[in-house]
Amino acid sequence: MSDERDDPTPLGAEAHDPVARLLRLAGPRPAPPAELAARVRASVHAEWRRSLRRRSAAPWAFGLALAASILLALSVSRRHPAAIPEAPRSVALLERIAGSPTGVWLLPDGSARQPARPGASVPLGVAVETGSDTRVALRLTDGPSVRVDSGSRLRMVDPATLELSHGALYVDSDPDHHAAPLVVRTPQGIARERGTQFEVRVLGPAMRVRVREGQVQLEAGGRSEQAEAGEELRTEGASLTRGRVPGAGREWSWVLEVAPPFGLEGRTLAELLRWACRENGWRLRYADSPSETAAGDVVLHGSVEGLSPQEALAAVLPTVGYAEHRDGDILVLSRTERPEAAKP
Amino acid sequence: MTQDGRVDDQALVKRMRAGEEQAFEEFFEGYFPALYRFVLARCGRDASAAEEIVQAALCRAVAKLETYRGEAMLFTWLCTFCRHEVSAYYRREQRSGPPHALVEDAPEVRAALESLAHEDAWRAAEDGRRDEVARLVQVTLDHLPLHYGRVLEWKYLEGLPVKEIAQRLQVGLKAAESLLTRAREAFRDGFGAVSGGTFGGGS
Repeated sequence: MSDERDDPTPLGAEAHDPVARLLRLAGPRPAPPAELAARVRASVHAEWRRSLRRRSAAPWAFGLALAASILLALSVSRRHPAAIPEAPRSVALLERIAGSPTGVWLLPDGSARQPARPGASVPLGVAVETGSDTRVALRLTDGPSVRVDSGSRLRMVDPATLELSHGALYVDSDPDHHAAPLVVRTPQGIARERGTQFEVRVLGPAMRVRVREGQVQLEAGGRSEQAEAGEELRTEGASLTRGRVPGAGREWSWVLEVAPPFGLEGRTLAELLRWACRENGWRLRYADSPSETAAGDVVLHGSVEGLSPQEALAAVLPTVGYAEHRDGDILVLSRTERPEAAKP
Repeated sequence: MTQDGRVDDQALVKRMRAGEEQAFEEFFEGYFPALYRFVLARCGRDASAAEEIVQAALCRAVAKLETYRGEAMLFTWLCTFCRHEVSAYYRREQRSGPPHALVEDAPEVRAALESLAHEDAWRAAEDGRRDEVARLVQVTLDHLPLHYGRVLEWKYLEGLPVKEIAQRLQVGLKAAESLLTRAREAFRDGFGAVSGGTFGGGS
């Protein structure tokens, strides 16, 4: 028996089926923006855990007021906090998934892997695993963005230590806004952040570190070497080789694919440009001083969610009277005669 | 999964009260999008206000889960918190109320909905009032038990055969057919209620 024959609305009848027609007229229900959902989820989750702790403590307070014996109250208090375990400390938020939405899992110690969605929190000690067609962007609680390439496994050892057992990750952190420099541990060695943008990749028995901005200290095979921006270090066993890597280009394209969205509403053009340049590894140059001054005063409205940095610039710049062109890895920005009417 | 969404809701709340993380995931993933749409429609589509209101409402609701008795659908119960927070938001902001009345209260939209049963009225609905009718369809879906809304969308928007719906739900073919039938009936009843009870047509 085919499923079409069993269907409550057989094929051919759907054209006249009011339920089918109404649903198609309406289309899919619009989903809230992922960034917004992640913020609300984090707050509600924290409140839920707080309420569980309050509830587990409540019988103690109640018992204390009523009990004739302090000993009885104490015995109750010792039992109840164990009833609801303390939630592991969250050290990261899953900010974006690129590729298959079902291709990311959380792996708590000693339990089966659980599918993860945007907005999920990643507790301390829990690993994040990505499928062969999925990349993910995490936001650590201290601020850095960590992008995880497809086919990777990353464990949050502590808020400043990440353990990469296979695959690759990319770190983008602002040294002015987070406390402890990040450490990435792999089976082959340890990469210690001295700067702000770098990739660590496990390549079978080898490990590679590419630095886009700042410096990274690599400790492996009993040696310790520092890589500067534009350099890569590769280690395998006792050997360690140094090479060059451009700050922009296809070497970093997977990172762009999973870049967290830029919240446009109320931000200035200068902020948008800084974001786009940072994501692409470009340097920003204004054609003249007035262009630079005005960019800090232009306040943007609308949304560029779902757009890549390049697409966002293409959508926004004409509407605010600016034009851009590329000179190698330099983005040159100049003012045009007048803005177009369109709004992103 | 049960025939009565309230039983599922009670089970979900029970698991949340036991501290089960997966239950929180199901709760948030299942209800947040619909509640956001519910509030967005009641605050003049102000995304910033909607975020603040839904967050406040959900924080209050998860702190009071023990008061949920399963007498109403969980979504209905959560909407009560949202309504309260919408009012509180406008009091706090010293505004008189949401800038726009709800479209489903407008007489012309009710008239449009009431005419949906008639073939020649489809064109009218699809011409001038398509957006309003579409939103009310989505409102109706949001008010159904979670799995009802999902199977209807899988079937009629994604075009999934019943066999695949059964696989997604990890139930047998007959159970999936039965669920789809109940979901259709619930949708017809729900949409009939918002359209003045005149929703009709074939099965």
